[in-house]
Amino acid sequence: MATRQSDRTALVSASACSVEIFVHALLLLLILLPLTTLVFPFLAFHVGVSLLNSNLSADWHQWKKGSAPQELAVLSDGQEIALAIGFTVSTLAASVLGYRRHVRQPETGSSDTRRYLSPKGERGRALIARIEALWSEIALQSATPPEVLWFPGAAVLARAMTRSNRFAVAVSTGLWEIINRDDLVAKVVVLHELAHLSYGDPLTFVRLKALLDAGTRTLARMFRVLIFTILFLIAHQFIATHRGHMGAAPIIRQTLMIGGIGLLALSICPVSAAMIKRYIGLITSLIELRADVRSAQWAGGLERFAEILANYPMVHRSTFSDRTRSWFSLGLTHLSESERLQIVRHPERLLTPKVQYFFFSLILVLLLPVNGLTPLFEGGIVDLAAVVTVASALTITVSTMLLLAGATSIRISLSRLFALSMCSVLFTAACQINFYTLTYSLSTVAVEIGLPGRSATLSWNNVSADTIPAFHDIGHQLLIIWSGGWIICGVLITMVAFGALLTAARRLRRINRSSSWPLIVIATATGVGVLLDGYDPWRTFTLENTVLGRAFVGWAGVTAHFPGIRFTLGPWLALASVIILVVIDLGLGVYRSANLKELS
Amino acid sequence: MDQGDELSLWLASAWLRASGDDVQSLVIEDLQEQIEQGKSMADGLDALSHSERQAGDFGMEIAGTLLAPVLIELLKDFWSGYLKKLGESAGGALAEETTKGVKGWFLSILHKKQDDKVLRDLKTKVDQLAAERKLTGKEAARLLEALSGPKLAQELSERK
Repeated sequence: MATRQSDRTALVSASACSVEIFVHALLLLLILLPLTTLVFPFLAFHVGVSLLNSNLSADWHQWKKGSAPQELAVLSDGQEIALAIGFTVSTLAASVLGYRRHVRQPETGSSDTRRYLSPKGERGRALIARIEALWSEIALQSATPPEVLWFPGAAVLARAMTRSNRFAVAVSTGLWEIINRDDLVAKVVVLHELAHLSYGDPLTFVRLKALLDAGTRTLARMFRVLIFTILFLIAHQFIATHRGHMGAAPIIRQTLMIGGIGLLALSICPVSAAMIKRYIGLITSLIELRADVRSAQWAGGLERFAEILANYPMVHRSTFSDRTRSWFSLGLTHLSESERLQIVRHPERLLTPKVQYFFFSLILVLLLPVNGLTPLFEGGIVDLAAVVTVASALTITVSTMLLLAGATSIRISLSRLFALSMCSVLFTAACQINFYTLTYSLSTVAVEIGLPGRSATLSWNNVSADTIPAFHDIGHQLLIIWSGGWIICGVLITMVAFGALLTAARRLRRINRSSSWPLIVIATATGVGVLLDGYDPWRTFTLENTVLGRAFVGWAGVTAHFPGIRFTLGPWLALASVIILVVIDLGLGVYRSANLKELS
Repeated sequence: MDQGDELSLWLASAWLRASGDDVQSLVIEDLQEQIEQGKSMADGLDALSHSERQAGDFGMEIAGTLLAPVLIELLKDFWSGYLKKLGESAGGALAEETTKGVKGWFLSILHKKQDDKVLRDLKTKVDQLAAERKLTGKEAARLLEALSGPKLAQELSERK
């Protein structure tokens, strides 16, 4: 009985991990990736084309007529946009081609330096037989067993991969030696790899890597265009100043000005690349965690799995630096050993989002407006879209995973619910933080340095007069979010909503909660709630006369009267949708029992 | 390939096979192939102890032991001493002392068991490594048994 219960917990935990992975992957593919590969390059190309057009047109008129520069540009606004679209589409097409090439030939350009070889001899046959036996033990007999490979290496390692469209498991010689001794750790390691194969993860890894490469290539092209534009502007200004015989000082000052503003603009490339890389790293580590859970189910349960690894003296004990890597590394593939074991040991943590690893993604999207380019587009609505995506991803995963947790007997503690509620509220509230004012202030400082005729001395008073208001503004934004302490009330209200959602989810009997539609309903309701709560009047003015704009204003009006319910709409809409599901569930029960009576 | 490296790989591969460590012998064969392709012995040995974590890996750092690199180090040390001695004993014919000749010399020792000092040196080195805990007791015992058994000479002759 206990084993069946443990099996069920592991199974639901694996489903919960799948939901978490799916939500993050969906939002990455639907919003974050299109923003970085389409919208941002378009903005950069448009700004570049506009600057080149206006400057070169002025030069052209001056050269042709020998008169003062005129306002009339060679290209119209429409032509500028068409040209920027052309550049964007060609960049995207090149990235798509790169993606397809990478997916078709994953070995090409791979950084993997291991030499994978086929096992030979009697020991080789024994290795293949052992892995095939495990494959059939875990009820995957219907599928073709994976190809078995080995690679030289002292450490106990294994890898699930695809080779020539066939799944393969590669083991290190260190692992091969202990497989022969029927070591439990060896079994756990191989089961982890077989779990990857059962989910088709090697293909997902190839696609994620290809997406990352394609995104990085697009951003690299955008970076080059921005650098070219900045260098052009510096050269252009240099020639103009030199012709005016204004001396070296103005040239240096203007170069500093253009370079400074250009540097801020360039930040869009590393920040976007880091955002995508971290997000993909997070998804990869969640996939690894799911393979742990699945293999734990086959190895005798979550507790048993953790016990085998924790008691093995050769397993590395994670250090503080390993944990920091899990939190902040851009090249994340796995959480640290200790964290993985802790999570697997506590089903409560498996059944709820791993929020702490998601925190860095929020920081990165908050840094987007610093570039100063994206805020030029409709007040910065694309920056807001990115941060709302991250906030939605978090709250959606909380509500959908709690629905799944309702199917188990695992108790989600009040402290965990409180932590999740706090994160949900803070992530949603973060949508209203806008660092653009900081960029604006720094640009003002740069312009003051570069503008001829002004004082060349850069005094602290001047700089502080320009920058301190930006910090005041950010402080003001935080005070609005704090709203006299009402945000704490928001956390408690969110906690009530999540608690009620979990209780209601436990009452669902007839609706299969692991099927897609209840999850889609709850995810959509939560997403809409977070979107409305993420309303930022400064960045959504273009939506004023739309349905969404009116909904924003309507909800903002309600929260102005009841500040305690700000940032709580997502969880409450999720609860409302679960209550509707419970009502449907009860209706189904009544209908079925009536049918049974009729039949009897 | 350096003469000492070549002889070390030749003897290590056969010795491991004779002691029943077939997996370790495969590591040596792969290392030999890489060196023939231009990789240095040091890089090849270094790669055995380093591994970068990748998506799809188990991803936990679990230390394992490999007998092959330990044996290679032992044999490199052994051959560096003996090649020098052989060169000196050959007098002016040092340059003519070919790898093939050295292999023949070692095989003759194994067959005839005449120059007991050479085998005793190897045994001492294995014992030293076991004392330093670079080899387990079982591994050392297997290696020593293979050194005095007939299978080693047979394996070496096949690889000559």
